[in-house]
Amino acid sequence: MTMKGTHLGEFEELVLLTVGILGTEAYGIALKDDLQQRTGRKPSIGALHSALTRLENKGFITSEMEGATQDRRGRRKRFYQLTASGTSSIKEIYNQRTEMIKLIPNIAIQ
Amino acid sequence: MKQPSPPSFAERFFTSFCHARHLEGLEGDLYELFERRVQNKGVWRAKFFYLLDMTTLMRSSVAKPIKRNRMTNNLGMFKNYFKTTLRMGWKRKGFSFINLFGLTIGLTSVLFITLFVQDELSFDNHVTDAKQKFRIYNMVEGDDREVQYLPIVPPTFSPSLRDDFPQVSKSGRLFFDYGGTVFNVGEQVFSEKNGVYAEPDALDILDIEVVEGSFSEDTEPKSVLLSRSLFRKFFEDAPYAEQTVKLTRSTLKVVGVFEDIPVQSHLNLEYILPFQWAVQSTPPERMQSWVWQQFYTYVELRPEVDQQDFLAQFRTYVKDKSEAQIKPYGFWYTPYLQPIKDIHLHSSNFQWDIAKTGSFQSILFLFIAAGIILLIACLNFINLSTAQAMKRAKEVSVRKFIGANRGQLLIQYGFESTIYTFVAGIVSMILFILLLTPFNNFTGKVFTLNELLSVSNILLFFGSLLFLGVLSGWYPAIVLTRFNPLDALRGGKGTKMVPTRNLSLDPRQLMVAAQYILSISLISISLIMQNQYSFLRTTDMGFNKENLIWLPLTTALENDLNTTRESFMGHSQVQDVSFCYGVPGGIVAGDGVFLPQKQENEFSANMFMVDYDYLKTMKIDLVAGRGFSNEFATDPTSAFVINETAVANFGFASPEEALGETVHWATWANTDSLKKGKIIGVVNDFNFKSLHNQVSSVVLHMGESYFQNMIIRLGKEDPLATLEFLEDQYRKYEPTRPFEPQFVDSMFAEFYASENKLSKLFTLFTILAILTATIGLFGLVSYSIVSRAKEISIRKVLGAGTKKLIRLLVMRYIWLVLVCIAIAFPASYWLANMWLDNFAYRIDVGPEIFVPVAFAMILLTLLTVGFQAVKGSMANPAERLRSE
Repeated sequence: MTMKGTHLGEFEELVLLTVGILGTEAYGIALKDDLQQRTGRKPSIGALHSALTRLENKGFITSEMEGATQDRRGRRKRFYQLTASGTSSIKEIYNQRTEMIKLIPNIAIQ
Repeated sequence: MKQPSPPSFAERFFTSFCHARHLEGLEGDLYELFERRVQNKGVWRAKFFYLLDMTTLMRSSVAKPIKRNRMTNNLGMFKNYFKTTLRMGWKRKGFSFINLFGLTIGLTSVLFITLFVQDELSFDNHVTDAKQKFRIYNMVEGDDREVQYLPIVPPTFSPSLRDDFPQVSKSGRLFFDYGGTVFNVGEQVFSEKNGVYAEPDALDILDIEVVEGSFSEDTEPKSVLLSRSLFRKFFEDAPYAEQTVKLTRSTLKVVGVFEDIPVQSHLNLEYILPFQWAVQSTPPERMQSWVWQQFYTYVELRPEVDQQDFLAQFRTYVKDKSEAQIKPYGFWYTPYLQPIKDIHLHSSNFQWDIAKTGSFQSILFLFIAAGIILLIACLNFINLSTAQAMKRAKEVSVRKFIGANRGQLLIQYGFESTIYTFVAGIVSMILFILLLTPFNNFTGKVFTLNELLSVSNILLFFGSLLFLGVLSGWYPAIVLTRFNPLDALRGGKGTKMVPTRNLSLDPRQLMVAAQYILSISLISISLIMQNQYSFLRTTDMGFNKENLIWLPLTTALENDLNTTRESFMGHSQVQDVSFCYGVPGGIVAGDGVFLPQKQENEFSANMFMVDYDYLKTMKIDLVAGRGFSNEFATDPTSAFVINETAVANFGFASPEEALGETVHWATWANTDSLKKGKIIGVVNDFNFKSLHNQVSSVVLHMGESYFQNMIIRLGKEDPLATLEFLEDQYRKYEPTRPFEPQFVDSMFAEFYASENKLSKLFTLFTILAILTATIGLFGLVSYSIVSRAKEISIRKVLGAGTKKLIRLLVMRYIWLVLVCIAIAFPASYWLANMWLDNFAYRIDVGPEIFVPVAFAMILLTLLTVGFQAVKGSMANPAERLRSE
């Protein structure tokens, strides 16, 4: 599928990072809870799903169905995982941001 | 306790909405959240939030695609069908050509016929409230006369309807201006024929719109209304103003102009005279008559009136009023209502009608003929497609193996035949446009493309194409898809459509038979029609209508008849000149005479007022007695000549017995005075009307004051020079009036003009039908012989001679033709007889028609099949057999 570039939106970036943080436990509700906890935001399940789909289409994460449990009435979870390109894009973002922040005068970073 | 669960409708909706890929994970997430909220916030809020969460998921990334996958698949298949059709069509050029040719001819014919029929059916559509408007006609019966239908009724009908029937809102009479009127406008002279004396109400009913001036009951009698185009013809581009025009004896005031009457109207009127004028020149008691039938009468009923009730009432009323008056005449009538829109197509059996009449029957005939061509073309398609089924068996099998189901294959072949019909449809549209002008010339109608290109017509056309495609595609499709793919690929049994040797009920043979039966019937019927028309043209009319011309008499001409005769006789090629009232082929007066010795009743008879030379000029033969002669001084005042039919109708045993009998005739100038005389001669029956009608009683007598016509018998040589001479003579009397001689034989030809056209069209369609059927047969036979190539070769190798092989191949088709002939002949005999019954004088249908048709059909089959058979059986068997 052709994509209009592979740059990330702000919310997408947060979701991507959260997927990375949660490691093997990254599925819909866990991501939602974690995001809320860390950023104070309350993403709707729809917004979250749409961000995840986009990230997946851009090739930064992959997903797999696993682990049916009782409280999900037998439905499996879709677990997300960073891909190599997802990891490298996180690094890239980090480097880029750091470089740029460094260039701002009057901000001292140890 | 029952576990709380999210709203079930929402669950169901989400299942139907969500893409299968996301469904399980999202459902799980939603449930998980729901369970957690039930714990924390309670069931109701959990349900609420469940719905809220779900709505946030209403996005395109989650939703199922809208049937996208299935659509693309089907389009792809149709593309493939299209490609296959083109390839197959290209590969089998002969087959495609035959199909397209037949379909194109069929469709083009149908297009033209539809156009013609639509036009015929749209007559008088411009009349408003047509459902309430009627013309009254009478069925006239009598003791010893055949039933007649007359659209002219007594003068008393209309006033009675208006005054005594509350159901009638309007009623009006028309009186035809027999013979036309000659208008003098300034220096110019115009002879016009299409005029009536009319009551204003009649114009209202007919929606004839007076656009300038006015026309009412009070309009003075000596006036005239002109149609817009006639006004323009008379006064060029002058704006409307009250003008005068001169007639021979009087001056008329032009009191108005009416809008030209549409072409598709049953009446063609150019000028309208006030009805009062006709009334003034008629004896008052005649206008009160219940016997004298002369007036076209139109009524408009009020809405909601029950026609049957009204008609029943009116019949009783008429019976009461007319019975006493009509009794002595020995006939009676029953009035009928004819809806105004029916006049054009349903008046063909009326006498004395001035309406433009078409024949419903003819239209039906044409429609059937065109339908037959189309049917034959479809049968060609079906036949050839099924014959070639074997060639496509492999294609079908491969499609089946790949996974096509029967329905898809049916669609494919239906689609294929629809493509053929559409291609044929487009070609026939082009042909139609190219041929429109010749068609207009032939039918005398004016069709333009604009009026044809209505949305409904176009939709109808494409709809019919689709229908035709499906119709001719379904049977081949069924045959093609019936194969067992395994057998077909192995080339096994059940796939080879080898024709059976005997006549069995193979559907394809049935179809060929159907084509044959239809074609043979068409040929026979069109031949019978042509024979009938040539019979009408050549039959003995009882007088000689060749080289006979007719001129209306004018005041100047009738001033001194003897001098006029002398001047016209001064040419070697002018044989006889006669003055008269009543010319065969023209309008003839109907009247009655009394025979005091016979009975008190009046006998109805057609009146001819003639001079001494009439019988000689017309070449009418005497059967008994003598003709009028100037040797008898009493002939002008007291001599009558009757025809043979009159002898019988008046009750004489023989012509001789009638001689010397007394005849009384109420003169037209004054009905009280009787012309009394004796029968001096009997002439043979001569036809003065179309041969649709039997000859009726005729009485001839001398009456100079009634003369209106001049008839001239010409010699056979150089008619142009003779006509020039006549014109010169005419100019001496009438320097400005148009010289308009009419040939009596062409006047008779006009009686059959429309039927002649019909028979020509019919012949054309017959030829097209036979052509289509023949090339279809040609295609079928050529295919069947190719598919029997091996069999033929083996027979040949085993010693069969060429002759024997040809006979083998040809015989079954000859048998087929014979069977078809046996079916088609009785059918067409029956149909043709039904048609011939329209004519009082008709041919008998016998073997002289059917034998040549039979031979022609057999010959045609021999040629078609024989050519292929010879080709097939002459081929070198070694080459054929080597091929595999």
